[in-house]
Amino acid sequence: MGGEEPRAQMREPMTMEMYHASRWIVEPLHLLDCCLVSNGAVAVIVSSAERAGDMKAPPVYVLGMGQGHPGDPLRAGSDWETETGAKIAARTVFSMAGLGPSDMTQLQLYDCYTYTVLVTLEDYGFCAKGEGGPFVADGKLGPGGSLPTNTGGGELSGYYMWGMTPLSEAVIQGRGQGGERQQPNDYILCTGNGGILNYHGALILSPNRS
Amino acid sequence: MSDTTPAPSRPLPQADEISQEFFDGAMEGRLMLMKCGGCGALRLPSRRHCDVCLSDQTEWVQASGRGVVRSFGIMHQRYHPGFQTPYNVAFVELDEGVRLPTNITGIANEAIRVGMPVVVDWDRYEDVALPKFRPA
Repeated sequence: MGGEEPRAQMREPMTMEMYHASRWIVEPLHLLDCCLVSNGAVAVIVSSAERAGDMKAPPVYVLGMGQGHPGDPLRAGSDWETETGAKIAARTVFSMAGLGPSDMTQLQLYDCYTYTVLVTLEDYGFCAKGEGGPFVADGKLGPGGSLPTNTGGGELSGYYMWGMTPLSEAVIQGRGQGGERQQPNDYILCTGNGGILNYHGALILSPNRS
Repeated sequence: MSDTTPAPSRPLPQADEISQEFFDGAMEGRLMLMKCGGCGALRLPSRRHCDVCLSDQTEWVQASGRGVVRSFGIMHQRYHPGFQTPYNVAFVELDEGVRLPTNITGIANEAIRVGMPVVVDWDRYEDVALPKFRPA
């Protein structure tokens, strides 16, 4: 989806043929399953809602936040590869905002690998566990889809600035400054991961204060 | 590059005071696991403090050397000239309940399956031995 973000590193439309032709990095991941290497910087200013209203740029409000840190126990009984901290964070972030998955109008998900998006969608309850692939197969995450996701290309096509990639695009979208790629922004779920899916954080952002 | 340039060797681990007993056991063909002296949880990799109860008391126990393939991938990207691609990287869940990153030997990469029973297969070098696993 990076084609509509002028600063994206990967702007050529990708076909399934190009995807399958890209070389293996670690099977089952092709090169085009992996995030980019980028040089850059992103800064976000956080302030009280009162002060934000006096600033030049339109504010984006935090309606909820959540975290979940399962760690990496490397022990029998742990399913951290398929059930991540997002599942814990989801409960907190949705309950704080008084919202649920079906209320979200767009997603900015940490996408270090394609698989990360699928497991995150499952853990937030957008679909059942193991059904992430079929869930997205109709293109609903793309431009004009019912669940626009990673509108700036994310880390796979846009640029890799760790959790600041989804956060920066969430702020741009929340301000309504997405230009051609602007999508409905009432409720934006924004997520980040750390370690090897060992740590997870989430925000629900909105141009509206409640 | 001349024809006589030796192939670069793969980097090998060096024991430190926390892992000495693991590598000493490996040289003798024994798969040793650090066990918490406080709560009994196994620590793999070995480390000073228990991630369950934070105790620094330890003992060492010998593992059976048996387990199953928990997950695996096939490495195609060559990160070090001492490694020939493609090679597999697997997590083996030992019968004792801890998971060890390793390689599966004695079988084609295409034939590796999650859940496959495996048994330790020592990869011996001059000063160190590494626990690999082959189908049981």
